[in-house]
Amino acid sequence: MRRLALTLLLLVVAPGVAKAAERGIITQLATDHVDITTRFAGQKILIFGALSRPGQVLIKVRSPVQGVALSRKSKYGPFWLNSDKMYIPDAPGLIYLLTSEPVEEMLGEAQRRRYGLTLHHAVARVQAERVPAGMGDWREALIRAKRRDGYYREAVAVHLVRDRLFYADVELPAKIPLGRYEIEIYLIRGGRILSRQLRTVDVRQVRLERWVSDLAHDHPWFFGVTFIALAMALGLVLGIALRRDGES
Amino acid sequence: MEIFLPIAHMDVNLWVILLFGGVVGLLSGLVGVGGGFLITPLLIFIGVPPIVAVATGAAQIVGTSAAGSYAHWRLGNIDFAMAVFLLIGSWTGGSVGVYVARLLHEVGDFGNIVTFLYVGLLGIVGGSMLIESVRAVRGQPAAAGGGGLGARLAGLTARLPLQREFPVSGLRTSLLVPVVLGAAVGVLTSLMGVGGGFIMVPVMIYMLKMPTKVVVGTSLFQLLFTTAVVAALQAGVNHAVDPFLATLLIVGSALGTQWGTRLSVRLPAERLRLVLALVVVIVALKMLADVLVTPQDIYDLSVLRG
Repeated sequence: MRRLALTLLLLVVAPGVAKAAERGIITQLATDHVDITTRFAGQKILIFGALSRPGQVLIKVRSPVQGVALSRKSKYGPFWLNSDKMYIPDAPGLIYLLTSEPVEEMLGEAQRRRYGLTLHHAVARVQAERVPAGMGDWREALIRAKRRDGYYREAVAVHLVRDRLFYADVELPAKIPLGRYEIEIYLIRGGRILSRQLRTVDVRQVRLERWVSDLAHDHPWFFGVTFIALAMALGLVLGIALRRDGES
Repeated sequence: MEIFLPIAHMDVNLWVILLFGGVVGLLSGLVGVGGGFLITPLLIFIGVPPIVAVATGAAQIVGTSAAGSYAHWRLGNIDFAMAVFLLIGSWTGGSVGVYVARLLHEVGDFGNIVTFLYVGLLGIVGGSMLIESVRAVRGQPAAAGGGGLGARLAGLTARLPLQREFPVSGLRTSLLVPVVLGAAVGVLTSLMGVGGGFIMVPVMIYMLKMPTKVVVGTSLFQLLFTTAVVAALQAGVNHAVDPFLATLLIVGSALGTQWGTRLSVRLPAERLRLVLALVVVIVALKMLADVLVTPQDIYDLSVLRG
């Protein structure tokens, strides 16, 4: 698979390498949309490109924001119970920061902060509606929880081939936020950002799931009554059919 | 096979959910209990948000009690007058419960409340079943404990206002009795996702002294329409009913129930009840353990939309 991809990469990119000299970097995504279906179990997006001169590459993948709730447990007697809950209306759903070298060696603190190129900096701008007492460290908690589930990631995972070609396999978890993903690709040399390119990938919940989830949120009463009537009918039909089957 | 649940917003294994439905259906076919009280904790164990687990549990009961209600209706085992007053109570209690659930969910306490309600309920139900079935397996007669209390309460209800005849059940009692009983069950349905048969049936048999046949038909009938209304409210108010999850559970439990009913003819009833009691107690202990063990991270993240 990888060999095939690289062969394709060379075929696609080689004619364009001359052009790379103009903008410094040429990038290509192997797919421009991801469909989530009932059998969606994680997908790889291959990002590849060419550099006109040797350099370092940083790829930032960012999903649309999502509303999340962060709850905190406290100990009451022997019990660990939820004690506080806060809402973060615009939390980044997924952030992948993939680099060709450790990011600290590529860029200074000021640059990293300005473009949000570490998880810490990317989350620093996120705001919450109301922060309950004792939840001051919520940004760190958000990063921790998201990392654990594979939604936030910082890794040296951009591969350079002979200093001219680069590729990265972005492996997405099975359950990902929907919408338009932004993929920013930075070309860095000598601690300076020389070029920045933006590409987008649409992640859609297709067919039934999308339709069901829209219906349940946009017309909750219609959905509720209809579904319960269907559930009743399904139970009735199953009950009768299976009983008949049992008698024969 | 993994499928994505659009409302619970998570991936689950299709076969695991069918298995859950099947196991609970099997138990209900074998022992004759509803089993709603096992579905909700099982869903919570695999990471379904508590409010979705409770709402979907109610929707699942709609599917599993439909066929039984129809059969009892055909047999004339339903006291409709009684059922109407039960439903007036349970729809009121259920509506209040759904809004209470919403309030608790927004503050973040819903999971805690559900956990303690379940530990308490399953502990009591499982514990008493365990004692009773250990006695039965050993061949000792069942204790006649409930009778005394039931008779005293029956004396009390005779003095309540709004007395009315219920000819199908062959009894005279206050309208307040079914309304209050219904309200209690409605609250349980909205906060725990259970049908409440385990309260309804003993009260009807021991306290109201209704004929057992009518008890089974009437409680099943009211349970069908209580869970139907509560589940519709949960979808309308809390957006918490997951249709894929509910459908899988209904299919699984329909298959399990048939299998269980056939098996039950060949298996000794006392031992079956003992097994069910053990399952219930284990689920209660697991729920209790989950709040006693120090969490890996005191923060917990849940996605609301997107």
